[in-house]
Order: sequence, then C-alpha cells, then structure tokens
Amino acid sequence: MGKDNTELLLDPLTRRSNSYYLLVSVLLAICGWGVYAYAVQVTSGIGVLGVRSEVMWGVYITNFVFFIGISHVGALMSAILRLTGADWRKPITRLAEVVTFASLLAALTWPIAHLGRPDRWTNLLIYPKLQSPLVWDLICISTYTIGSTIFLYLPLIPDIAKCRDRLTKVSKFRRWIYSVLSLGWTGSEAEMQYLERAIGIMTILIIPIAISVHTIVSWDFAMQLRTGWNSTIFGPYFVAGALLSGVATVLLVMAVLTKFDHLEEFITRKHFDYIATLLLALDIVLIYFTINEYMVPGYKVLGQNTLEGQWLSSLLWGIYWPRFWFQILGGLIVPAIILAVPKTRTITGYLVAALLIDIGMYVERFNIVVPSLAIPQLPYAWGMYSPTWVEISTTAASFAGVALVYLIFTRTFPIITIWENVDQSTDREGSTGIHPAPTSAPTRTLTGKSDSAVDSRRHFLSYGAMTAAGFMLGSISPTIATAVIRDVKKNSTDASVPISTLGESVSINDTRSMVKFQVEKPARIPIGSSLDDVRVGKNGELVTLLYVNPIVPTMSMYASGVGFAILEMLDTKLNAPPTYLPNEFKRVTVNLNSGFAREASGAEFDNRDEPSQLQWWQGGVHFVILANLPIEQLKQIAESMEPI
Amino acid sequence: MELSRRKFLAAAASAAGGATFASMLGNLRPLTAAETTQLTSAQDPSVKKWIWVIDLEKCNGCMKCTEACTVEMRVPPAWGEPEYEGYQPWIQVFGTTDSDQQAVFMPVPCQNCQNAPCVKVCPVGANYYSEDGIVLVDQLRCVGTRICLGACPYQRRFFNWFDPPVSEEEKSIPYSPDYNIPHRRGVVEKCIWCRHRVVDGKVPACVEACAIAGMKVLWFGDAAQDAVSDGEEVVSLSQMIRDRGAYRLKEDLGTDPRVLYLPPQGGST
Repeated sequence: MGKDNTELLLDPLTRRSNSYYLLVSVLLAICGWGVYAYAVQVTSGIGVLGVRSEVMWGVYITNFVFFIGISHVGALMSAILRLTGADWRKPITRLAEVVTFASLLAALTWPIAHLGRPDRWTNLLIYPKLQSPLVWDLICISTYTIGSTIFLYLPLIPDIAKCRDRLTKVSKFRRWIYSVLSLGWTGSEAEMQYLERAIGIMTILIIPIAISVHTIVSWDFAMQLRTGWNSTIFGPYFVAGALLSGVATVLLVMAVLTKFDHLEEFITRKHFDYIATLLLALDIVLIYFTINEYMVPGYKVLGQNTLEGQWLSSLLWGIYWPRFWFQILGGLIVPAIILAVPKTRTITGYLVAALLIDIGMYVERFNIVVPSLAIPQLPYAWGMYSPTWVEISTTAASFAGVALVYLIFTRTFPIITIWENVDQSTDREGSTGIHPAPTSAPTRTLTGKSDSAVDSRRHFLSYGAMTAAGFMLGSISPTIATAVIRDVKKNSTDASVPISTLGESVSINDTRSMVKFQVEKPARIPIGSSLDDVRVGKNGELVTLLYVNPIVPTMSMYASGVGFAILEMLDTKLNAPPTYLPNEFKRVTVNLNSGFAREASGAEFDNRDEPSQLQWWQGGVHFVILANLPIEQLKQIAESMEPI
Repeated sequence: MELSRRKFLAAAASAAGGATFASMLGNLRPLTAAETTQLTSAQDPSVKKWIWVIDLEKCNGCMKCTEACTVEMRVPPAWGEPEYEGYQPWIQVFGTTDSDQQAVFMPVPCQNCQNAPCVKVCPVGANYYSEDGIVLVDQLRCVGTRICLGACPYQRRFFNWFDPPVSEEEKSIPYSPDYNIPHRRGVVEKCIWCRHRVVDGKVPACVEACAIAGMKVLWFGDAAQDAVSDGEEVVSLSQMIRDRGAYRLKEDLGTDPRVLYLPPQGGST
C-alpha cells in the first residue's frame, strides 16, 4: 500500500498536460501585464495610482496586509497543530506551508512597490531608524520569511531525496535540483532524529515570530495618531484575522488539489470537517474582536460630530456602508452560519464559506486602511480614493503570481509529506507531534539503506552548514542588492547636471567684466589638473570653474569628465553661514571664515553619488568646491584661492 | 559522538545567529540624541527658538500668504486634488463662520511640533529637527513610504506624485533641506518656515506678504528672545500672549506645536 501511495503522490510531479501549460501561460500573461502596469508607475510617477495626500495608502497596503495575513496559516498548521499533537494535520501541513511561502513572496513586493522612490528602497537598510514601525516591520518580516522557508524546507528534505531516487526520467536540471536540495539524505535513523529535532526547534521558534509579524503590521497603523487606528486591540485583531483568512485559503487550496491531483486517499472528508470547524472557531473569535473594535467607540461617540463619530458613521451608514456590511455579514456572519448549520456542512458549503471569508477579509483590510485616512484632520472635505487600472493590474498580477508559485511547487515537489503520511503511517499511534517517538518503533528509512555514524554526522554537518548559510544569505543579500543597485545608479544620468545650465562658456579673464563680484581662482590645484571650462550664469551672479584631472575620479553629477568644480555665487543674504545640514556636514574654518564640509558618501552605501563638498561664505560670495577627494585636499584648494 | 554533535549544533546556531544579529545591528542605528532632538541645545542663547503667532482676529482670508509661499518656495503642483486648487498649500487658509455668522479665517502652516509624529514614524530618518527646532525633510533620503502623511495630525505634508516642473534656473540651485529646490518626484514636501530666510534674520515669505498687505495676521519670532515680528515692527511675545490669550491646535495630542493662535475677539472683523 505504501508504495502505491508514494507513486500516487509523485505522479503529479511528472504529469504535464496541455491544460497545465495553458494555465501557466495565462498566469504568466497576467503577471506580465502587472509588470507592465508597474513599469508605467515607475516611469510616470506614483501619481498614476489613486492615492493622494489624504488617502495616501490604498490597495497596495491592503494587499500587503492581506498576503501577510494569509501567510500565517503555515505557522498555525505546522507549528501550533504540531505542538498540540493534532495528527490529522499531517496531510495538509505542507500544503499550508506552501501557502505561507507563496503569499510571503507576494507580500514582500508590496512595501517596495508602494514607495514613491522604489529606486531608493535600500535606504531602509542603510539608514533604518529604530523608532519607526516600518523598520520593525522590515526586521520582523525578513526574519519570518527566512524562518518559514527553513520550516518549509526541513520536512521537504526526505521527500526530495525520494524524488531524487524515484524520478529518474525527469529533466537533467530537475534531477540536479533534487540532488542538491536533498543534501545527501539517506534516511538513516540518526538523520531522522536530527530532522525531528530541527523541526521541533523551528516549531517553537516560528510561533512567536509569526505572531509578532502581524502584530507589528497592525502597529504600522496603530502607532499613528489617526482616528480609527487608535486602537489597542489591533495586534490580536490582526493576528486573528490573519489566521482566519489563512485557514480559509488552505481550505480552498485543499479542495482544488484534491480534485485535480486525486488526493482523496489522504485528504478525506474528515480533514475538511476539521478544517471547517477550525475555521468556524476562528470566525467566531474574529466576530468577538470586531464587536470590541466597533462597539466600544460606538457606545461613546456614535452620532457625534467628532472625528471618531464621523469615522464610525461613515462605516455604518455613510459612504463605506456597502463595504463595511459586506465585511460583517458576508465575511463573518454568513460563513459562520454556513459552517455551523449541519445541513450546509458540505464540501460546497465549506468552499462558499471559505471564499466569502477570504473576500470579506480583503475588504476588512481595505476598510481598516482607507476610511481612517479619508477622515479630514482639518476642516477639509473627505478624502476620496478609488484604485486606478495600475493598482488593479498589479494586484491581479500578485494573485496570479501566488497561484503560479503554488502551481509550480506542486508540480516540482510532493505537496503531501510522504515520509509522514505514507512511510510513518504504521507507527502513527506512537507519535505525539514534536517527538514522534523514534525509539518506540524502528523509524522507517526511506530508501532502506543502512547508515553509519560517520555518514549521519556528515549529513548533520551539511544541515548545520545549510542553516548557517541560509541565515547568512538572508542577512547579507540586502548588502549585495545594495551594491548592485549602486552600480546601476552610477551609470544612470539621474543626478547629472547638464553643464549648459551653469551658463555660457567664457574665458577666465572675461569673468572680471561679466561677473558682479570678485572672482577667485585657486593657486594650488591637484597635480595634473587643468582648467577645462569657465561658465557664467544667472546674470553674472554665478561663476563655475570646471577642472579635469586624469587621476581624480569623475563626478557623476556632471556629464563630461569633470574632476573638481568650484562654484562662486553672489549671495549677500548668506554672509553668515546658515545652520542647516546638521546630519552630514561638519563645521570647518576656511580662509578664516566659517564653512561646512562633508566627506564623499561614495563608500559602501552610497545612493546619492555625491562627491565631497566644502562650502564657505566670504564677503557676500558663497563658495562651493565639489570633488571626489578627501576634505583635506578640498581645504588646500580653498586656502589657495586668490583674486584673478 | 553525541556530545560533539550537540556542541556543533550549538556552535553552528550561535555562529549563524551571531552573524545575523551582527549584520543587522550594523545596519540599525537609532537616532543619536543630537538627531532626534536638538532642542536641548536651546540653552545656548545663540540658538533660536522660532515661534509663530497667528492673530485670527485680523485674518480676512486674502490668501496673500499662500501666494507668496508658492512663489518663494516654487511650490510644486498638487496634481488633481481639487481641494488644493493647483499648488500644494504649504500654508493653507481655512474659512468658516462662527456662531454669529461672521466669517472666520485660519491660516495653517506646518506646526513644527517639538514632539513631531512625522519625525517619529519616518523609517529612514529623512525627517529631522534642525538645531533651531524646525522639522526639515531630506528629499535626497526620503523613500516615499508616505507614513508621515498619515501621521501628521494637521495634514501639513504633501507629496510629489509626478515630476514637478523644474526650470533651468532652479536646476542650478544647490539643493539643501533648508531651501529644498529643485523639487523632485516621489518625495514628501512641507512648509519649512522659510528656513533659508529666517537664518538670515528675515521673516518667512508669507509673513512678509501678510504685512505688505497690511493684515498683520502672521507674526514670526524667537521665543528665546521673547520677540515676534511681522517684518516691520517687533513686539514682545509674552505681552502678546498675556493680552490676548493663545491656544495651539490639537493641544491634547501632545505634539507640542510651535504655532500659537490668538483667538478672534468677536464683534469686529
């Protein structure tokens, strides 16, 4: 029996029908359209979205919260149910973890996609400020992504080994993937022990991480001084909603997979019933939270002309009433009834309820994000928001992308854990979850090979190395990304100043008659420099001396090979130095005048391409020296300035 | 054997964990005391403590302040926000009627909170206090999360949704957060109390325009020196507050704004 079942589970991995390719192409087409829409957003500006100064977050943030929410089901299924010894979860564990994996990939794109300057997203890694909830988000979600990927991967290893051994007819590339990812797994008893232990550790770790993630997502809102977001229950409210939408999604995925991959033997009516009951329980929890969230302010402010009163009445019977009541009735009450009444406790009923809950939860996220922002903080009119075609396209692409990742996963790896469900099915009684008692019964080896202690130690070493590598990769990959982006930016002309904007080109001696102040020129310049160009602009109020030097690195802000530049401008109002630029400019003394200097930010994390700068004020003239040189050298140039 | 494996597990886990945390901590730099609030340096008498007094009694809603601001700061357009009629209203005049059906107008610039929610929520530290307590935005660092737009209880933050029109002349101006020109796309904008002018002893452009129009609604000054000016005459700040009584917007939020409103006395406009 075991062998048959193994083949049944491996069968979808080799099946490739026309409808599969059709589905992949359709999903790819939707993704491609979304990429096009996003390209329009990047090139034209974020104004192509429906968001404006009042409702400054819209569908993108809704998507982010929704997908993060969906992702919680993996932690629930594999960790919480594992910990409580609910063995019925075994056939749907991986199925749920892949939901987590795919939806996290989607969720991660949104915070970047919604930025006004996505090209500068690395600033979040370069200058993170711990007091901002968005930075807590960044830390939490990256930890969660790495953790849940490891959690998906660990129980996958024995099954990948099985694919490696059984699927000999697949393409060379896939065989290579299987052989690399299986880490030389042989299925020895010692290996099983280590695997169980590793899974046990991850089980404990992932629960607090998952809960912290959605709590912190809720804090993105709750930490702002905003009517409707000013709630202390946002953390648990969001977590409960996350689990609800995640379980509903898993129910849908279960139904689809059972139908198309013939998993009836594993995912039985019992599983659907259990999941539906879990869904009902979570639904009731969320109803409880919803009552808290709206009834408490409702008792105090409903009908009053305060901001909070206006917010509440806009939801209950104002412009948002259809969405709000769909969230309450369609997304919570009706599914609860369907899931509770014995007559409707059928697979179809479950699916309808799950679909309603998922849509209802999406609407709920929208109702949290948008109405609170639409409330005017000062006597404005209400903010209006409706998504544009760009937002709808990218959102559709995100959903299609999740489906695509899921589809490809189910066609590459077994979606039901073979070693837990087929190989261990005989000693299931002895298993208690975290420690499925490897000592009570001889653990099945997956390939039947005997092992030696040396072998298992070697494999164990590779585990340790893999885990460490995973962590390292997770932490250094942003650094690599930053470096790559910096290189790309270096070649872009975004920051360049066309030299023509500096005025017309004249000879240095002509400046004396054309310029309204005394022009100065350095007597000492870096060896090999030559004065390339002199420009006079702004009606004789600005002189720019441009020098070339084969050794001094070219400044990317000027289009043509300028090594260093000296700007002199008439600036009577700034005869005393201003007190701005506290962050990077330090006060210096130049020619007995006070000035400011900044080192080039061209070191590791440079996204500005800005050279070193030295500024000072002298007799109504504002001097600026720019070059990719140390400040000391700029000071030497400055100290040698002489009137022409 | 068992022991060595366990040791290895511990070693590998701690090494990985250590490496991760080390690299994260390297990136995570909380604001230094000087960055979060440089208000502490206000003990130094040479450091200004800018303050704004707005006399609601005198405002007739002529909008000269908004016009002057738009010209001085080359304020970018608001892109399809009907409320804003063209340009981002960095200083906006709200109008309403009081209980006697008398028109009441209220100009609202950036409140320059000393406990500013926008500075708190910024994930990259692009919002910061200058030495003299003006909230500035480094438009070269801003990534455009727009969380500060949501956090500001006075709605005094604006966003460049598209490329703002920038003239050749503006391009040649060296950018600084003090005089944030040229404007650029995808970043946050706000009233910066004309910091480029006030460090030089001038009042902001809107205050000057208000005085030229003969309104004398806007008064700008230094709380440390107990003096405010409309650009023409200088009066005592404490005297003004004693005579008229002053309030601040949304005092209950604890944002500690630096804009004081003198309430209208009723009767005459």
